[in-house]
Amino acid sequence: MSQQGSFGRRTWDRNEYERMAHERHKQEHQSHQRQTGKSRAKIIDRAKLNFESNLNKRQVITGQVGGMRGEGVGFRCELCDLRFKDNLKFADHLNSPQHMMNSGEKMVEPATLEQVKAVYEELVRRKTSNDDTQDKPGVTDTNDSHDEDALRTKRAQNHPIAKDDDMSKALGFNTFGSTKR
Amino acid sequence: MSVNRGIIVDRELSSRKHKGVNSTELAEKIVRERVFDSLYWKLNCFNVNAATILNRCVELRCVGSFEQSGRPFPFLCLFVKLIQMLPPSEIIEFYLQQHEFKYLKVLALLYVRIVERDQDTLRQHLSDYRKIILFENGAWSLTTVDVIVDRLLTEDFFIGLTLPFMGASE
Ligand SMILES: [Zn+2]
Repeated sequence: MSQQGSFGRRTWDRNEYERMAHERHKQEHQSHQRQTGKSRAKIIDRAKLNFESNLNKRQVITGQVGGMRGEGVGFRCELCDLRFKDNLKFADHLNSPQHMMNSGEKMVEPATLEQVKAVYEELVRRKTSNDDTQDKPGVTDTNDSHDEDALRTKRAQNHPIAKDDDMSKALGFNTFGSTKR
Repeated sequence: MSVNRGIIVDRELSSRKHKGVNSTELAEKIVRERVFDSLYWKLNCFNVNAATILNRCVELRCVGSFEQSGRPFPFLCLFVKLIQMLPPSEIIEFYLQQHEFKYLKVLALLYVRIVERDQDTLRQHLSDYRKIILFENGAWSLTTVDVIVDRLLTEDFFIGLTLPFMGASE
């Protein structure tokens, strides 16, 4: 980055700094795009809230939002312009008629067997194209050694939760709010 | 769902009845209440049907009711949702017969045991030896589908849930 000049003085490598600045701009631009892209989604996928980090724009608000006194931290529904102190209250709000009306989310009808089959087929397709986290059809007992590994992991942990399952992600999310379940 | 803890209200009662009982009541009240209060329930079991709930069922990696912290496992939440929805038996049969997702199958087996109480259906699955991770009485263990079926056929409790009387087999 810097070099000793012929007079023993430090001189700046302009090219190097220019390159770094350029990269930083690029990164900032990308993350900005990511954020604005997200905020356009109207219907919030509740399940997704489990595994996204707290950096999700809906979740962390630090002080700048007026209205609620006390802590400046909470969960915010931008759609309804409401803020909640803990994630359970926030989840309740997402399920409330008021939020459903604002988001335009409709209540689902009971599924038919055909719909069940269609979702199932899609999940099987996704599973086989991704990896084998569960057994292959027709194979018994030999192919599920991964369960033994998983069990070992679970036992090794003091907390009886697998680190990689959804609930533990929900846990990270959960510790944010109250200690209530 | 706001909770008024001073008043006894049966929340989230189902629109469906099973043998004259509101189907949600097939799970004991203490179990239901703890499930309804959980974050997993609020985020994953609202506004789903027997098709969309599969997205969560295929993620199951263990069988259990409550963690030691008291937090309900996804398995239990999804089970309570199933009995609340009371899907047609052809759909439960489909869950049972599919072979890709073994934890979905165990979910359906427990449903058959508690709701349909059909021993013959259960017995058809005594030769499924795939491994299942189980959390029960505060400990993790490795079991198999057939062992679970056997327990459902012979025991009074499973993962802390009371198994209702099934009557003698034919
Ligand atoms: Zn809202």
